[in-house]
Amino acid sequence: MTTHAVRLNTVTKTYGHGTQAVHALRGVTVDLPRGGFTAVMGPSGSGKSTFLHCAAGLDTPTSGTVHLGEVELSGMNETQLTELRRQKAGFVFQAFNLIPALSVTENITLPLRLAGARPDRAWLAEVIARVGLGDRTGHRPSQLSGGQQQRVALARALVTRPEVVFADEPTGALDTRTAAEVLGLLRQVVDATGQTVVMVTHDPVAAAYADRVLFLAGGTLVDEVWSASADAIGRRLAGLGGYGRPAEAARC
Amino acid sequence: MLRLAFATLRGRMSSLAGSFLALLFATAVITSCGLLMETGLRANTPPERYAAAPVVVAGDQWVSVGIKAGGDTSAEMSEPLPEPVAVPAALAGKIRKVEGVTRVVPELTFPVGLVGRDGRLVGGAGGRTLGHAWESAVLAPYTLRAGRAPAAPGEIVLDAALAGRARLEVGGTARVLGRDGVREYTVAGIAGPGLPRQSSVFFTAERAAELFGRPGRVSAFGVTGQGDPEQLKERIDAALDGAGVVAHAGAERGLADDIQALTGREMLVGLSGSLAGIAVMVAVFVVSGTFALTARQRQREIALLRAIGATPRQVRMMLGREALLVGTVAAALGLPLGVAVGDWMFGRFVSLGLLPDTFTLAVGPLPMLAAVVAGLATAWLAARAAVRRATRIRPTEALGEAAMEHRALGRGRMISGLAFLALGSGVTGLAMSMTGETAAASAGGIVLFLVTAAALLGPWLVRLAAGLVGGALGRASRVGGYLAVANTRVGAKRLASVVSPLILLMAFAATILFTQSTLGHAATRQASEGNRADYVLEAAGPGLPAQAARAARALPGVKGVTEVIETQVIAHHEQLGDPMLTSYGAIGLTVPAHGIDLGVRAGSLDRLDDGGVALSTLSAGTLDASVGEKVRLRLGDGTPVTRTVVAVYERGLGFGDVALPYSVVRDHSASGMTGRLYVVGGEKDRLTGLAPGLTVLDRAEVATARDAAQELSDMANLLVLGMIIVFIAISVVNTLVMATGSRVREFALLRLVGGTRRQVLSMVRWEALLVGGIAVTVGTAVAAPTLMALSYGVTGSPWPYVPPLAYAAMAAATLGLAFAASLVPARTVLLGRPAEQIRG
Repeated sequence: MTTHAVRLNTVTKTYGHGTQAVHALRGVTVDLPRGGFTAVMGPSGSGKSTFLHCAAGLDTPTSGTVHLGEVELSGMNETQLTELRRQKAGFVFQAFNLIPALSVTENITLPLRLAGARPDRAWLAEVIARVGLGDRTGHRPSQLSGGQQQRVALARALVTRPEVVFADEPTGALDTRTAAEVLGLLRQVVDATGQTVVMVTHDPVAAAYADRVLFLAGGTLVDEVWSASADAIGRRLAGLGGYGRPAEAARC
Repeated sequence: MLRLAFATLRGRMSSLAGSFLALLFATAVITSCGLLMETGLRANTPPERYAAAPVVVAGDQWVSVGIKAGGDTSAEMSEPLPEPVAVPAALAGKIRKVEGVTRVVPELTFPVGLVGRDGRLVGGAGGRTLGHAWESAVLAPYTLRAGRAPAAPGEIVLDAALAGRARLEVGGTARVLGRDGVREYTVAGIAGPGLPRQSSVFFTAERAAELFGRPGRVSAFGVTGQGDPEQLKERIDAALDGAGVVAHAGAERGLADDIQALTGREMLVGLSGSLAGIAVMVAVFVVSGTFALTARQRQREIALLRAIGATPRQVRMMLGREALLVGTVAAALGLPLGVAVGDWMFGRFVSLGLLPDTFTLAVGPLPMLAAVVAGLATAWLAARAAVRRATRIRPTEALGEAAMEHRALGRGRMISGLAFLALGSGVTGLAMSMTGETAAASAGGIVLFLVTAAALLGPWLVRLAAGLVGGALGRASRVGGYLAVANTRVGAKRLASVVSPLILLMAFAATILFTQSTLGHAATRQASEGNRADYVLEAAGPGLPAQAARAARALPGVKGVTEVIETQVIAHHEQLGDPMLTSYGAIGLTVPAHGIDLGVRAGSLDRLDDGGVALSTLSAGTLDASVGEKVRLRLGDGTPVTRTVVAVYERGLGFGDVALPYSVVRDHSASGMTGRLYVVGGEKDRLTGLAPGLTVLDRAEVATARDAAQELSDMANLLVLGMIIVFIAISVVNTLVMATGSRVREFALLRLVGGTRRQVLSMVRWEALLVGGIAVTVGTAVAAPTLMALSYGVTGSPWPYVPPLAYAAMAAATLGLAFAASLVPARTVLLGRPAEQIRG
């Protein structure tokens, strides 16, 4: 049994050709161990999103290898990647996480249905209870607050017992208090079930919930901290430079 | 606000593309209708026969009645006459007295046939060979190339081109078919030049008058005079006011020459008029549909504008102006497309022989202006109506709500939907209780009402369908079907806007095609059931002379012969207290009739010759006349008659809606010859020799010939209505592409949570099936009452004739369109990277 949940080995990602080529990742090597909560930070254009996409099998690297659990992703086609993601990855996004037409329970069990699997009743109930939505299972997304919607998304990410939960700015659209609730929930999931979580964020406060924070700049890993406070993370981030434009940073 | 409209327009190109396309095609369709109509009003054929006469005085080819249209204003209703109207010869004196007139030449024109050496007719130029008196040869002008003018009844002068084809020279013997049969003449002279679209045979004045067959009357007068022909024409018109004649000058003289040009013009005006009406209706329907969809997709943006301080009025103004900008660009591109389409259709009409090939398409500014105005007005109104709801939303709730479906559907929407449904049902009921064409004419209105009702009630229909088949679908397909049903149930309004144009397509196409099939089938059935003859003799050329019928009767084995002429009559009647004119296909037949059974239901044809007339159930219903009552008719050449109804028969579609005595119709037709003989008994070979240019058809061949004729008339309608169907189909595709293209984030999410492309496509496929299924079902339900009302009104049976294969093809096309227009854009969306797409 491997100890890492995700392993990237000299991963590069280049968009475009020749003079117009954009090097989003320039040889990233990192191991994300099981049961860890990792935050990925960096200024706009640092390659945060590309890092997440490559790690989650949403995008294929130009060179280098990516392992999700024991499986090597290179050479897989789109359908194989989708089926792998189904088993090994859960996703939480900033917004538009839920299918408006489906109820809370239906949204949560959607990945199982897509995989043609039956939900494990006990586990489903536990997941729903864990995110605190026991009384809302029949509601539709439009009847839920933003924080509740993110909790449904988290439950959906957990329901398949994935290797890794990938979160892309999961609190970007939430107020401070609701954000804290959702982040606390993520932390709790890691602590209680040993779930691996990888989160991209621009917010030092959010990153402070993680065990480990990776800093990306110009497509390479430039720094990392373990169990740091929001202030400490903020200082490191400011030290990377190019971070004086918060409006733009929020987009990345 | 205009600047804001410009700015948002630039940023919104893709979402406005749908509205833009709908408007572009709407403008194009309206433009092409307008062009055809203007052509119908203005097209002229170049004068041939009267090229040398500056002014031509001919009969008025229109029958008119005045209608009191409220107050003092009075409108006029006119119907064209199918046979040339003869004018009194005595008018010549009156015309001569008009100031500036130097010469008045009376003209006689009558169809004849030159019989070739092989016993067949020699084809005239443009398919016409016309007889005249040599005295009027100057009107073309024809001049002698060889020989001399005819001096005796047995002498003629031939058109050089015709003589060449028949290989006749001066001194030769020509056999010419005329009103009194085939006679031999000596060719006294050859005259040139030949005219491009008609051939001429010149007789002496007395002989021409005999063959013309209407003593004291002439076809027209060619008038030569001093000064401007237009002024001369006006002076003549003023002098002859009330005499039932019309003076023509300039290009208009061609109309006096060729009555076909007149009917062609009439056909164009009628066809393009009704087409324009339908086109505008369809345009309003599809354009407002696409604008509604665009507005829904832009709710977030509208809400944002409201939130940052735009008043509802400002938002409406902005979107209204934006629509005008889109409409202007669309119109600019739609106009040339419309001209191209109009030109193509015009060309098709000409090649089908419905219009003389001398007509040219009139491309004037007026139809284009009308199309642009109609397009812009539609765009503006549609945009305003579409955003009305969005701007009523309070800004705070708007932002949260934008992505979601409005849960409550408007009560007003349901009420107006039900009102349209009631209206449509009411008209159907009314139409069924009425008789005659009124019932048939109401069919169009029924389709309109019911399709509008279906569009308004669309969301409920979608929910109903989802409720009915949802369970089964979810079980049949655990992922695709399940998601499709969930989407359908919740996104009922989005799907309804997609379903509406599909319903319109199905209902419209079904109504058009099956109206034709019902009428065509009934006509064919009636004609074949009513045809009891062993052989039908068809005339090619001017007709069959009276001798042919006499000879046929004398043939051994022949048990009975009926002489028949087909024509048209115009009936005077009243509708809702206003005088009305209705044109009917009519038949003149000899009684007692042999080999032809009109299916008499009341009265008897026996007394037809005695001032009688027989009416079909259809015309009897419209004219509100029963046996024993009198009806006022205009015969083919405009002669008014009042005749007593002696019988009512049922096979009007097969034989014509008015039956008159043979002699009455013959005496008021141009050729004065029989069109067709129905023969009971006899032998084919012997019948063939009765007259030149004769085709003998047995029963099967008659049916085949009929089908061919039916197909030709169907083609004209299909051509025009096909354009509307294509227009609707384009908007269907447009709407579906818009609707599917806007689901980028939804598809991305499905893929990110583990859905494969195949699963997403499966969902789209099931949704398309559901949408297409609803469209086929509701479209059929809309077309059915329409067709039943029509069928009942015209055939008396409420069951329309629907060929199963045609229906299946139509349903398959509707479903196929729904599939293709959903799956193609979905595939394109799925090519993108979901992780990026979900960020919006």
